[in-house]
Amino acid sequence: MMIRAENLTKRYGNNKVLNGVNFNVEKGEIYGFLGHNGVGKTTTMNILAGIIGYNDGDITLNSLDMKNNRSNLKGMIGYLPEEPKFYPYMTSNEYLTFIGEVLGFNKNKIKVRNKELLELVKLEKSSNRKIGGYSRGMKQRLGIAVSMYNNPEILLLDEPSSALDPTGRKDVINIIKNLKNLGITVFLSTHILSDIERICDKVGILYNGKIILEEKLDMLKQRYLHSIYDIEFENNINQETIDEIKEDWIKDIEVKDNIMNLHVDENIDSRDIIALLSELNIPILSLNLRRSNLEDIFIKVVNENE
Amino acid sequence: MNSFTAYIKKEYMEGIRNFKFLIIALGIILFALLDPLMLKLLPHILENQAPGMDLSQLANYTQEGAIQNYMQNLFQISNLVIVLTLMGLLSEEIKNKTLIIPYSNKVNINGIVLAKYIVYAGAIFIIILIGFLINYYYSKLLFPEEIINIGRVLKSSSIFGVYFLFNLSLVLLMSSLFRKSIAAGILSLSIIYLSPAIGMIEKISKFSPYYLVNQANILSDNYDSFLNKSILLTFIYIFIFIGITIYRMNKIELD
Ligand SMILES: Nc1ncnc2c1ncn2[C@@H]1O[C@H](COP(=O)(O)OP(=O)(O)OP(=O)(O)O)[C@@H](O)[C@H]1O
Ligand SMILES: [Mg+2]
Repeated sequence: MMIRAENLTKRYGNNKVLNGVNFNVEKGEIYGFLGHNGVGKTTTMNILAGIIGYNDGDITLNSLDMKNNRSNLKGMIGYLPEEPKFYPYMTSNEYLTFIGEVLGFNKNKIKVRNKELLELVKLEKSSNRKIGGYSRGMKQRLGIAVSMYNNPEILLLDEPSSALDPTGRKDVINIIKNLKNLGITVFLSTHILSDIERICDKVGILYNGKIILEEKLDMLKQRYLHSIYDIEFENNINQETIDEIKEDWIKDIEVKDNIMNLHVDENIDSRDIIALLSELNIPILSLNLRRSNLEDIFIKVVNENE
Repeated sequence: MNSFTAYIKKEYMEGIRNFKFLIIALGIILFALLDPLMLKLLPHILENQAPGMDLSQLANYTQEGAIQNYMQNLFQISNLVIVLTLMGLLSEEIKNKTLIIPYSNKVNINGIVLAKYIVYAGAIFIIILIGFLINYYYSKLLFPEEIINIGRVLKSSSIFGVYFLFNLSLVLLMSSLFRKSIAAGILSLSIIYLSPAIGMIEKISKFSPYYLVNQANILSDNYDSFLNKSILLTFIYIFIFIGITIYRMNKIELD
């Protein structure tokens, strides 16, 4: 187990932001941390990075207890804050050198590492420009480079792709995929659920101060993901028609006016649907297949806990 | 040690690129030139305004007088410039969250605080010395009648330097306590400007760093026997203030 949080509690005054949070991240895993705005994702990541303290609970990182090893752990962790802040009068090359010096690297190592990282995040061309003149996305890229400077075993990324253009997002996703091959453990929060679908092994959903769901992504997909057929009828649908449909492979039926959404098992294909529709024997206008995605799952799980 | 050297370089870069050294230098050196000139011109100006007045009562028109005037402005105006320039030394970093990345990279916090102190302590000490030297030679030029021994001026400059080192530790401490740098500035200035009032209470005046300003003003060899102890005491205050600052910065929540 690379990251373990047990019963983590954090209060700001009377505001209990985290109220017994539990999660487990295994070595080499990419963990997607989801939740609404203001639910406490950044707070959790600040705690994991050792930037702020917590009121109660236990954290172990790489089998080391957070309370007794706060400073040792910092060397093992790379952290990309939500909005990384640098010294604006430095160039990115100077900033990376500064971080290298803080970490105690020698001149040559710093030179090599700076070059590698600036290439990785595609900032070589602006490496001698002042960071103060960078766009939000460029700062984000630099932040990613900085977080990886020390070859950390654990990377905490707070919304790594939020400020990036589509190419930038793709780059970041590829970078993270490569990290996985290196056996680095990644804990990342994001609002962009399609990113999570593309790279995460496990997701955890934070809601009301607790993790309300934690599951491997493939298991989650098996459990929640299914096909949805959107069927448009010529006339509004009445209850009798709905009652007629009894097939046990249908998981859910939603109806609004003349549109029906049929949630069905994965292994059902259009032939079964057409057979069903012909039995109903009412005119239809269109039939569309859609796949539910993580967003649907997220909304569903949160609604169940409302 | 790594953090310390990294931050020495960083503060040096910041001091130059954000013109902090330049502003402090202006705030200290400008009066080194202005004060002797003003003193030289004052009688001529006043003569036209109020003919027949006895001007010798008004000021000490000698090199000594010029240097003492300079020290008065160092206390009143240079302090203001230094505090306003450096009040954000830590509070800006806390407010702007620029410490988050270094903190998450195992930075040595003691190294940060010491590096900041040492860079500006060095700068201020050197600038003060230059200020006194300029003041000395310029006032010598304007008032060649009674010339003071340069050794005394260098001594006063060092005493004043120690006094400014104390004020620097005060600003640094205040800057670690407030997220708003202006709050740190106002509090530091209040303490600095109110300390002459404490000096009026005979018994404790010697224990206040402001006592150094009084002693520097003497400009002769008649320093009080307590001066050395006072300098030592000021260094003790500085160590204590830096110690509290380091403690505070180790405890601080950065979000
Ligand atoms: N320093 C602080 N003082 C008081 N309350 C705070 C502080 N930092 C965060 N909070 C509160 O804690 C809660 C969680 O904030 P946090 O930034 O962790 O949310 P988040 O999940 O990262 O949100 P987002 O998706 O918008 O980034 C919010 O209600 C916020 O107001
Ligand atoms: Mg956040």
